[in-house]
Amino acid sequence: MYQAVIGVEVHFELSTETKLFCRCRNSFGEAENTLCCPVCLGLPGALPVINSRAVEYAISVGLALGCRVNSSTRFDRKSYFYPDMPNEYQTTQAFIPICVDGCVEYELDGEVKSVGIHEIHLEDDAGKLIHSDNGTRINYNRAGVPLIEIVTEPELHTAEETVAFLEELRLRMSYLGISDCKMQEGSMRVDVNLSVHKPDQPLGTRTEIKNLNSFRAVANAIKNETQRQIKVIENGGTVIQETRRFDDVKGVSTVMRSKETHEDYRFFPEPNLPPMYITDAQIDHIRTNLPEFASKRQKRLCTYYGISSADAKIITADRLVADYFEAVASLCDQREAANRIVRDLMQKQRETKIHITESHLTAEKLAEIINLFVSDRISRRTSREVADVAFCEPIDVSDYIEKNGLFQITDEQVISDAARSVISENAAVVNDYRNGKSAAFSYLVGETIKRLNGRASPQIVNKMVDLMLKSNKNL
Amino acid sequence: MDILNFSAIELSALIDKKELLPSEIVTETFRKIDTLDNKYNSFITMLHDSAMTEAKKSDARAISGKRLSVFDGIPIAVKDNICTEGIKTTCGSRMLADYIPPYDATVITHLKNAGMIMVGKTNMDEFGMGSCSDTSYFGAVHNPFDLNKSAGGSSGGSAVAVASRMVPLALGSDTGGSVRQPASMCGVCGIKSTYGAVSRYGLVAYASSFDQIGVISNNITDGAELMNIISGNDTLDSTYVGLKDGFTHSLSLPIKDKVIGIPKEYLDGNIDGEVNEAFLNAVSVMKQLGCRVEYFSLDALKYVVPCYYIISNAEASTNLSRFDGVKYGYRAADFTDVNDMMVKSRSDGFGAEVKKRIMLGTFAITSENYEKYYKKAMEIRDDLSSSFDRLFDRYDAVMCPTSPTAAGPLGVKETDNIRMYLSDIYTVSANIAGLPALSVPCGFTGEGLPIGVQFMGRRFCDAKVISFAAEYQRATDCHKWLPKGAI
Repeated sequence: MYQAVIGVEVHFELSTETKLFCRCRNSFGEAENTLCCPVCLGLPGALPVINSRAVEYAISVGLALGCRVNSSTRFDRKSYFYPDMPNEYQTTQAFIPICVDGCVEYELDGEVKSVGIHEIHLEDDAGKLIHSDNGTRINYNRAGVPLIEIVTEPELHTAEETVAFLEELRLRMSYLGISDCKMQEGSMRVDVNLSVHKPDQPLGTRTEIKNLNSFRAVANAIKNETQRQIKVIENGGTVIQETRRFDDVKGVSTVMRSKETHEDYRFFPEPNLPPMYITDAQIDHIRTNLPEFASKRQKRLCTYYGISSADAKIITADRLVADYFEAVASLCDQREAANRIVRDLMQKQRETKIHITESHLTAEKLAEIINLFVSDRISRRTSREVADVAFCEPIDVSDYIEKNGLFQITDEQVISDAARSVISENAAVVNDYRNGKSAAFSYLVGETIKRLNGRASPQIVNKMVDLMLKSNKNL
Repeated sequence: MDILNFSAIELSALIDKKELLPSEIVTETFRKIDTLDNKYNSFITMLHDSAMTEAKKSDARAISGKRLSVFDGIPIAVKDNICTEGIKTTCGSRMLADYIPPYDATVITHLKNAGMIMVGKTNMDEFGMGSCSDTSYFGAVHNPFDLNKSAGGSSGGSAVAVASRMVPLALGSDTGGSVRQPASMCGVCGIKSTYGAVSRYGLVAYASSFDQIGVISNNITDGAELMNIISGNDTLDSTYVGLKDGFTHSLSLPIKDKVIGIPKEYLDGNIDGEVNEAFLNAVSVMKQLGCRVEYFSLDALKYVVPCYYIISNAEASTNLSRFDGVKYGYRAADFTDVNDMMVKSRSDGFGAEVKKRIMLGTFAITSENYEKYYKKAMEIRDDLSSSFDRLFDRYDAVMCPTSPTAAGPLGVKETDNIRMYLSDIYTVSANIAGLPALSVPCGFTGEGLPIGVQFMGRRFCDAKVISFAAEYQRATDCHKWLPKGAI
């Protein structure tokens, strides 16, 4: 029985305000070549200056993944020619990465597993080639954007484990709030290293699979490559160390380059950047400011707000949603808040592709709606309808309810007047009620609500009808 | 009398007294360049119009008594590997023959803020790689003391421009001696500061951990004043430290009873007899001035040339990778695909010496050779640096010839690369260890070619090193000898 041995290399673009080595703005989707300067264009004579915010971000990632932070670290040049790379070398950390020796626990089917983190290093991104019929252009807006590369130990064995780890990793990164973590936009990129062997035998030769732009592609590529390597061995062949590209649509991988044609990157220290020294005080400061991560927060939300573990898990899967929940829950009924967010708003978020926190439904507005519902001023249906509208439009909640006549009638005099006339006009039904037909009571309640144009509070109508039927003399 | 025979400080005094206007100096500068430089080929680009415009502005400041600095209105020539916004910066290479930078190097900003007038960009060995200023795409520079002789290199154009009194001051760059050695060959002063004292931002890199922008002048005081200007603040070069107290505070510091060390190794080798004699005369002068002189031996000096060439070429091989024909600079006309375009552009755009050094440097940092060559060279570098640190506990300065020979003949193809590289033997140590070093004229050969003497000091003690040269120049006059053709 073969076992796959898997390690991943994950790149995240850091969402710093400026690039890694210059002061150009770091932003996605701007007009081509508008975020460039002599440094990130690799002009002759230009020199790099390290963005200390990016260094802090990398340290916080290291701490979030249980790494040791190197007290002295530096940058190295990695040389290879590719037209989108302005200097024709990448500035990375080949010899002394900023963080090493971490460990991440993740959950798969209720079981807690762990994987070692070999290292985390900082490096700069390249520009982007834009191919068209008229030739190839280069957009350098991305050139110099800070990246961190997280390299795991080869301690994963299945597609499921790998994806579960990646989900945990992405969750932690999003909690740190230092990357967009969007695989489609390239702000999170995953390369997989994989070999197969029989557990009692030495490790096999590994291949690297690149070009994976979704978790689904990662899972498919792992399954595909595991089977491919097993087949090669079973057929008496040998696995060749090479880099492969996975096509998720066709479900096949093809060779990008083999080890023989692999470039010698000629790593050597970047002379323009003196070594960086990171003090314990700096590390402690960053550690103190780390957020409460999802698994811990999930437990706290359950005990503190009394919401279900399932709801807490959904809410904490997104730090911003969890922040939103806590803001709402501090203003109204907490379980109702969880209920609304998990049942209604997550759905709305998926439909509209607008994040809750970017919608018009602020935490204050949702709390106002919930409070109106809990105090019976509006019906559940109304509360959902108002929340739905408030998600997409900047309405004033009370104004909207008022203008659309959605407030419930709670005046007991008005309701008892209506109930009295319904009862007096439906003698036969009242008779049925007296003979023990429970449906008769519901009918009378329904008719009373109808008479009040459906706006009466069902609870109060219930109460008033019940009261009247029980006290004959009022009829 | 030719006003350009005045020192920059003398010219400045005349401007202060309103006896001379910057525009008059600039007019005279261009008259001289236009008459002489067809013989020397020391300029690649001349800036007649912009220089005159700036000179007029400087005139106004001089008249209203609001000069920006001691050198406001003084003309200066700039080596063509220092980026100048809107002005061609070729590095003496076909690769950048038409390249116009969109920004100024930090030192250029400092020159402009001081009101100095940039009159042109000077010829140089391609990308600073050479010791004779003959690897330029724009042709060799000629020594004004003998047009058939080399001007030294790589800042040969700057040295000649100053030596022939076309300009009083020039900027050069010094990676392994490229300011001091041509200064020595042309009978002028060259200062290379402590690594980190001057911003390198905008200096097209040859070897980043060695490169320093330096100055060339007719006397050391002018040079020291200019160093004060160009070493001003910078936030764009991470290796910039600056020099807190500047370069001129020790100019009249007594050097009596100071101890000068002389490396024995430097006088044992292939040193030319006339150079040796001139050097020993300079040593006598220092003794007469009250210095004590001791000879020392330093084992690490044996390895400085290989150490220098391995590390500098390693850095150069990646520094020059960016010249790929993709973004700027020379691009081959015919190519099949993007790789072919890069290969052909680099093959045609670079000259032979540059290609040789790129290949040597590439070789030294392949994964197979990194430990064998690069790492070993770095160990020697550390060793040499700490050896010098210890030396300067004993000596106030180290003194040696700037170059083993005077200027050699032009047009003779140097077939012995080792010998060519050994000509840097006295200058590279200062770059390897990041020390302040300078060369001042100390005599002439029988043929009438200048000879230079070098002073080196402890890191960040640039002003002290300058004090030795200043004292030496007060006692001697060979820096006042002019090349015949230049008069």
